[in-house]
Amino acid sequence: MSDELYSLAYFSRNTMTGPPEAIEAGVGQILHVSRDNNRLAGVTGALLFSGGCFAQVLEGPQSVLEDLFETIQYDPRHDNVTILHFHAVAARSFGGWSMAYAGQADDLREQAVAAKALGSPDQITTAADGHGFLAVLTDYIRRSEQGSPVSAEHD
Amino acid sequence: MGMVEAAVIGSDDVDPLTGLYLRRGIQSIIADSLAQPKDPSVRPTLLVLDLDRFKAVNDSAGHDTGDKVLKRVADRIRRAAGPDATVARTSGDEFAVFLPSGDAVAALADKLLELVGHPYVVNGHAITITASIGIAQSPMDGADAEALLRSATIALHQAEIEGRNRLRKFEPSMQDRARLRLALETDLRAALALQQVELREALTLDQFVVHYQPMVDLASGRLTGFEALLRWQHPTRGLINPDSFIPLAESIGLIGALGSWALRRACHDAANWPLPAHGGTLKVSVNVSPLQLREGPALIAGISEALTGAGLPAERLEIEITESAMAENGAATLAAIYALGIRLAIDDFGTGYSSLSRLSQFSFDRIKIDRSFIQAIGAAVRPQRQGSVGGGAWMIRAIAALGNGLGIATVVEGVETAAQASLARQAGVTEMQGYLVNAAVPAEAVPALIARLDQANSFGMSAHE
Repeated sequence: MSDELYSLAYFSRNTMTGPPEAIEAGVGQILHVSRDNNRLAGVTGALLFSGGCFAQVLEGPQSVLEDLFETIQYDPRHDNVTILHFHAVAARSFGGWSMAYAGQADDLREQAVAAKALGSPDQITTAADGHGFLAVLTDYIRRSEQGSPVSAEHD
Repeated sequence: MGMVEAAVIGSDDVDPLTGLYLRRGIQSIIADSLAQPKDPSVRPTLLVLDLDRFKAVNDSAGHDTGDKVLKRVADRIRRAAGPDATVARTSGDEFAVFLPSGDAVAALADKLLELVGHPYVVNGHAITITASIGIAQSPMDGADAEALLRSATIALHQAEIEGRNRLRKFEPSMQDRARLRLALETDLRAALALQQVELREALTLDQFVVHYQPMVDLASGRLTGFEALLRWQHPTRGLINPDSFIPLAESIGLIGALGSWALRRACHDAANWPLPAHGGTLKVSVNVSPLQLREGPALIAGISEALTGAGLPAERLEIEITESAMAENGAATLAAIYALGIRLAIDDFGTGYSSLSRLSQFSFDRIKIDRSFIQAIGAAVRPQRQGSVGGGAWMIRAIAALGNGLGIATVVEGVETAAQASLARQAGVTEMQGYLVNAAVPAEAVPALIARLDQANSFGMSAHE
């Protein structure tokens, strides 16, 4: 029961300040650590960073996700955490990725703004907004699998 | 248990669920800390943190999930508070954090509100809760452990009264208010308990009366009806306004009994009012609180009985509800009241949460424009507030236009001067209520007031008493 496959998506506000390189390095570190941890724990997913906000999808065994999410709450690099969804899924959407990454690419930004995905968590006020964001993120990661320049680590 | 020395921290003082100290454990640690001589600038500080509406988590997700959330809350607090702090679970969903030195208390409290407010995922549930925090510092807010705990708890209650999800530092005035509240609560219970048997049928209550404030048509000056206003005639404190005792009655579960009494009294009085010379009928408006609205069928039965008992036609009764009541799940109850032929009014309009789309989902007959808008324009007694002058008038015009568009009456509340009445009329508001027409009067003074308002051909000119 507690090992059932679940998917969790959340949105949060970046609290890192400083020059873009420092923030980029911070995000790089988040990715590095989460990829290592996720590979061991059987967690896959994707991270979107808009500059102002993070959005992350995590998928894996329910109990693992619940503990992992709790650990993420302690990370001082973000606040205003809002859950977009948490439910059982039949299959993984990001099965090949310990943590795919979509950064501040311009084409993504346009799509995400169109789907109300970027900005503050407050802008995602309905389930439809949340699903719109997830659709954009999923689509972007999928396309990147076909060779677009996304910084993602394929296992 | 009683034989254990307070200074010794044993396993009895530790919460098995969270591993935190229990109340007694932290109390003795605070006592030890306060007993040590120290620089007066050190200010040992206590935070008391309560999870807002945590019962809902237990109710909806089960106690096992609730307990797991509590463990995570405990861990988050412990992590945020740091190694110098002592953390305790003082009751079901209440925690305490004692800091030997109070320098960083504001930053910690903010951090706690943020961190405890992050979501929890437990047993397949995604749960978001908020917290309220009260803060007290020694020696000014309490010289010993017990006094410090009490002060922090009073500050916590203040944070909860102000809407939860916030922190409040203790102030001596809070204690006075807490004492007054407690005294009033005791008196209110006593006042109603003495008559509990009769309360279901009585028309008179020893300490409670209903006063009536007239409303007049702005175009014709005609009297249209009265708002019934509940007053508590306290044996030693004098006349107490509903703003002070209705929230109390709600919090101790007596609002239903008191509300249905007021309704019965008002219907009975209105049925005996003389007919006005203009040949129309006079409505009586009765306030119904959101809590009463939640009682649904019981409220509707109470209203029907009040009408039948008094012999008052349904269309002469108007039920006033606030915007926030409308925002809750009272839609079915309001529709049932409306279907009885009773009129519905939205009270204090413009200050609550109504959205226009929400408004259009309800059937109602009147909008009462909150007094703050007209009083921002230029009252008789209050100094005129610069800057809000245009805003008040603009809001009144907008709400009047909304009423016109919906084809329903609008009443501006709190009119004190002829200039305000004239402005409201020009803005398109249809009725007014306030000291300019008359203050609320006891039931026995209503017939004379009806006669006087019948004679006044222009309310704007009638002197108020």
